[in-house]
Amino acid sequence: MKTTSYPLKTAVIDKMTIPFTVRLALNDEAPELSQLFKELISEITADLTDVDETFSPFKSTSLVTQFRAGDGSPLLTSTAFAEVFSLAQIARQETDGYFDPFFDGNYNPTGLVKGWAINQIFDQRLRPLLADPAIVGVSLNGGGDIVVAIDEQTDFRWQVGIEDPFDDTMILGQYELRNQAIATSGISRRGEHIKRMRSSLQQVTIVSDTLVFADTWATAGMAAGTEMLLKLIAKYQLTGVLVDARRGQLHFSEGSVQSW
Amino acid sequence: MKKIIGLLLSLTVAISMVIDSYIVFFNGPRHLSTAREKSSPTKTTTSTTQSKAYKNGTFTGKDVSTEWGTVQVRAVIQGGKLTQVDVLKYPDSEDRSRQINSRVLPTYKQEAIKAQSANIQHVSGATVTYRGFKGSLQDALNQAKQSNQQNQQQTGR
Repeated sequence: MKTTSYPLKTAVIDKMTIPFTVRLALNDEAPELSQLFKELISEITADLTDVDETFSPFKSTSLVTQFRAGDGSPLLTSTAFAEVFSLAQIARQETDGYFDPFFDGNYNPTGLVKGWAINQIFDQRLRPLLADPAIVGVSLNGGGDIVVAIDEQTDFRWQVGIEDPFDDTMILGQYELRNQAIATSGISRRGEHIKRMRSSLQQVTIVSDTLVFADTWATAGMAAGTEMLLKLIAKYQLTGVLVDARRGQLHFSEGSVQSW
Repeated sequence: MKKIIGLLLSLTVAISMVIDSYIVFFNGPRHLSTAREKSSPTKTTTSTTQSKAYKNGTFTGKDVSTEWGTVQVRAVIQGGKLTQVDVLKYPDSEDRSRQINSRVLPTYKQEAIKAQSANIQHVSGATVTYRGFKGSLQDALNQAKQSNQQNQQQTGR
């Protein structure tokens, strides 16, 4: 077994009260990347500020606040708003209604916006960096919801641990990822305000191509509870891990349950 | 004299009606000019005389390309409230299954261990706030300057 080490470059951005971790994996120390990395972080910070200004339901000037007050025009004037609104409708239908952007009686896309923003920023700012021969892997982690990608030639892989919902110093297992998105939803997660079935379900992790899919399904899974989620996993060919207080950890891959 | 005032009044009303309809017919669609190319969305403003800031109406979004395929939605707003949402264009099942089938399955290793002793670069878990971030697992992982990658032939696909 050969061991190779890849230097990592890391920065954390504080936006929307969430820590966003940007990590690059490099071929070697590459000091010339420092300036590029600095610019990258300030661009991503600006992107996240834009998202917050547009989508925060707590900001009186945001388009979401405007829409919630009964003005439909953001659907016509903002492509980003229309895209998130459309995604929210699709996500609701695709999850049999368990992901609900109208949970508080009005449109609130908060549960989807973070995943969408991370996807957008990742595709625009991070994925293209893989063209640089010094960079073998790129990743963006917004409070535990993560998108990663690697260069085609490299043997570097992103190793992502799944947090133990009962002990945050422990991990339950780990995924080896290449070009994927992973999201975890739990009962302790804040700001979700979703209606939940009575269930001993503690945590749901979903792995997918895109973070919007992974994140909305993790949220929907928690809303559905263990019994219904097991049906949805089979129906929608989901991949991930769930933790049930009574039954322990369950790992599923493309709809089929691997262990109990 | 009364006649003239009456005439002036009705003239004013007529002019304002013309201006109103100008606003409705020309101002309304102008908003949409950028959205027109693909789906020619329509917006009908049904109340223009109320002093209320927000307009009732039907707002048809432009075609949006999403991870599931092309989507178009319509929102109906009445009395300042969102009363109906319709998905006009929905990605067909072929689009969606293509999306699902493009997935490369990740490998998973179930192993309950102290996070600090695992060779990982990220943690997926319930959201922590930035305030609670210092001292969190991810914060600790972020201190690692490099990743020791093992070529795990036995688990690689």
